[in-house]
Amino acid sequence: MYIVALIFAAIGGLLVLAGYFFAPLGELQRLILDWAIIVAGAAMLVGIFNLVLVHATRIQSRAKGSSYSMILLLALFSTFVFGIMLGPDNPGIRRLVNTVVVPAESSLMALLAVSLLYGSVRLLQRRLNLMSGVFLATAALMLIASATLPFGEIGVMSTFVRPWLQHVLALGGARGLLIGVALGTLLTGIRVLIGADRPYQGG
Amino acid sequence: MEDFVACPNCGELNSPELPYCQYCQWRLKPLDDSWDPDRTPVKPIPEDSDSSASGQEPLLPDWLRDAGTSISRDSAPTIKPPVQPATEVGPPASDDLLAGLMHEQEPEQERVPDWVARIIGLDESPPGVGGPNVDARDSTAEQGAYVPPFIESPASPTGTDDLFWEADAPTADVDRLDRRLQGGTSSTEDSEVHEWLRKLDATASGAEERPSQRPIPAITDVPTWVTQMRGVTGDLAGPLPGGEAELPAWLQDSAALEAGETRARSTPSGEIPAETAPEPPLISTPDLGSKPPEVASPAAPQPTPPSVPAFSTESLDAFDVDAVFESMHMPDWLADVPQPEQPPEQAPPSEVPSEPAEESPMVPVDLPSWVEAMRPAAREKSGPAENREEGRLEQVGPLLGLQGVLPAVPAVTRPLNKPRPHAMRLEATEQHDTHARLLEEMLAAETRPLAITAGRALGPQRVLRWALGAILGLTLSAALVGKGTIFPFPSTVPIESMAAVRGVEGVPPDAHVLLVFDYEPATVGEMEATAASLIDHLLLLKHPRLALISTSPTGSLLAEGFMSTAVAARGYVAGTQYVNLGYLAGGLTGVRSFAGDPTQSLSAASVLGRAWDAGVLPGTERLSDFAAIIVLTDSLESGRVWIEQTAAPRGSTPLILVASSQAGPMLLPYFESGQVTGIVAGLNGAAGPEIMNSGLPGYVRRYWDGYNIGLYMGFLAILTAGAWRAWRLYSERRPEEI
Repeated sequence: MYIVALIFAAIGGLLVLAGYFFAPLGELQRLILDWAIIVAGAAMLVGIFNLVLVHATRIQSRAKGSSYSMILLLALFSTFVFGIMLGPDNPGIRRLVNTVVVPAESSLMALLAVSLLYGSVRLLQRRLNLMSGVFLATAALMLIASATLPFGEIGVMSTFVRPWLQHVLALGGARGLLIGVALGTLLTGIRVLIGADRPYQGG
Repeated sequence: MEDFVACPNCGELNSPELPYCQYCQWRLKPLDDSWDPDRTPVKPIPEDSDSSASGQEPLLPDWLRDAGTSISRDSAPTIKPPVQPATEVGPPASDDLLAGLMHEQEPEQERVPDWVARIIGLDESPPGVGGPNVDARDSTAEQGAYVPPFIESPASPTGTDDLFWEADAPTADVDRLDRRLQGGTSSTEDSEVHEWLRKLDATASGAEERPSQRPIPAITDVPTWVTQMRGVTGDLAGPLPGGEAELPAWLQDSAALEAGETRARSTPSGEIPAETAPEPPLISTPDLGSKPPEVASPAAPQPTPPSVPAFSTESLDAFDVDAVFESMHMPDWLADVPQPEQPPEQAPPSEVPSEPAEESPMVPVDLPSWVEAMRPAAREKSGPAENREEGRLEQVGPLLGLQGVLPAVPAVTRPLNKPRPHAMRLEATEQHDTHARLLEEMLAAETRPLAITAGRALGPQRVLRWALGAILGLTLSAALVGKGTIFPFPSTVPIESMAAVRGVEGVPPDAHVLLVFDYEPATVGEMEATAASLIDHLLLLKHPRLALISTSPTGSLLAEGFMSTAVAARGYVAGTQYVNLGYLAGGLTGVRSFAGDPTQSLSAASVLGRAWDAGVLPGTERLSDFAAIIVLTDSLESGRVWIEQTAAPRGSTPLILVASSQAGPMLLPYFESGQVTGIVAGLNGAAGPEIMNSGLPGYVRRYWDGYNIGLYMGFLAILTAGAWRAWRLYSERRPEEI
């Protein structure tokens, strides 16, 4: 069975890859990609079904926190039903999103800002070494260079330090990361094509 | 003083209790420690075994046999028998070179060599050797019977009676003598050497024709030892016919004397004439009674009489040869055997000097050096060295008499007792001492228990968190509530932001623009504030038709919220001026599929009648048909996917990124490489577009004070923490220094 899956994965990957280089294979490439999109959408439905099943089990077993599970299921089904019926451009749906989803996640992001600041303060107490000092110094420079003073800009910071840190150090590091990501993606694709890695095989 | 034992191998001194040499591991004691040399006599190996092993004549004297073995000695060890005490019969070995012959005859009467048998008239040739026409001497050579070299050697050219005339012979003759000592004689050499012996044999053959009662003329020049050996004191036979002139006088007389005695030997065996056969031999042999193979032939079918000794030892001691011959009883079968005529050239060699006289005092002569080297006395002197070379002579046990059979192997013959310890003095330098001291300190430090210091409390962490949160919340809330303009916009606009603005300004009027909303609700505040000014600038200037799409499940809702809030002032109506294509599933695959064929990948939305069929996007069947693609993303991954997967399908369509402050620096390389037209990253990057858009819609300005306060708060927090930490370190080290 694994051989069949390997053959399908290798053939599909090779056809999609060939579609980038050969125009006649573009249609076949798109067909395979449409199948992949359908499967991905179905996977989301499977995930939703699994979420419902888990929380339903908890409600049925009256486990601790089952009331939260009940609220989750009610919100899920109501959003699903109203979303399909009304559509995403419905004012009621937008209000629901803007008053529930966005504030909740934005609050978490705000907590993240506080946590990062607290972590930077504790870093000097927990791990005081050269790299920690360099990290915090760079962060402090970027903060002060990104800001403006009430009476104007800090000339050297806004015109030299910040652009230099952003376009030299940050850009160089980002390029290195992107090249590494590209090479890793290439290697992963080759391993999947030759069957060395079988992510479709499961756990 | 302690006694020491010298090692026979290396000569080093060893303690007497050591069984082995501590230098060369040579065994100092015999295998059996209980053996007492005084109590157990050493038994020499029988002469038979030695002679049979060496193939030499057993009746040779010791010194002569040893001489032969010493010359031909190889790796095989030889056993030196103990020195036999001198008998009263022979003179001392150092004086009488032939004394050993007589001395050895007594214990070796059981076996008589062939040459002696021939001398005494008996032929003990083995079966198959020596036919009727075969010379007895040759047969002797073939059989390997040993004849003493002084007998087989040619007579002195000068006719002298000195047996050691070879002292003046060249070295080749010495070698020939050695070969004879080792392997017997050669027939060719015999034919050359024993010419005088043939003549003597011819004389003896001629003597056969004479009556045995012929008076023997008196010989006056016969050597004394010869006369004593024969027991004749000058009353010998007369001159021999023919050939006497060439031979020495004493030898001629001796040949004439023995002509009748050696007839049986000079003729082929089994063919002894009846009239000459009864002559008795000089020495009786136990094999006389046994039937010789030649005699036992069908030609002589008569039964063999029982073995009877020809004469007793007493008669031999008396050395009356005539009496011996007369008393000798010849068997009938031997008397009946006809004797063929012996050709003169097949005469056997003479055995004149071979008969040792039992009581013949030989005159000491000056021996040559090579003879002196073969003297037993010389070997006695070199005994210890020889023992060292050949090994130890076993004196007890089953290996008694063998020499060198158990070589001393250090691995096997390790001393049982512990060797004497040798004091070793270690020469250590100061550096060695230092290293040793360091090693000891390291080992001691490893084993020393460490005192567990109580961990210092991290302090009121929760209070610190709450304090930081409170400070940030209060300051930022105050900045948002106050709506002041404390902090001005930066005077400089980033390059990527300027490029993005120019890209938007390059979009044709009423063109189709694709807006991608790939951010999460958590970053809605930053993303809407960052993108609002640029999109508002686009809508204000170009009035494009928009197509909204998202790869995030919440993206379509956020897109509707953006259109309803950020750019609500532009009055864009869904389905008329913009269309929400919804959620693009599949992530990277979905983006690739959408880039290849937008209409086909959104067939589901098309079925619902909310996309292409609504007539909002006429003529945009491909990605390149859009006038611009603007991607709003808060992550590197999403922006990278849209950049890379749409590169070929979009063609020359400008791609503009609106990124968060987190993802902006990571996407800058794409801008630097030209794959992206422009990037607006964060509030700092959005300040420029808002300025260029106349401050509309004013999202950046609204958050700018709070944003700057937050930056300063962060900077001050890090600075304060650093100062605090430095003070703590200083305060901790100061007491230690004091």
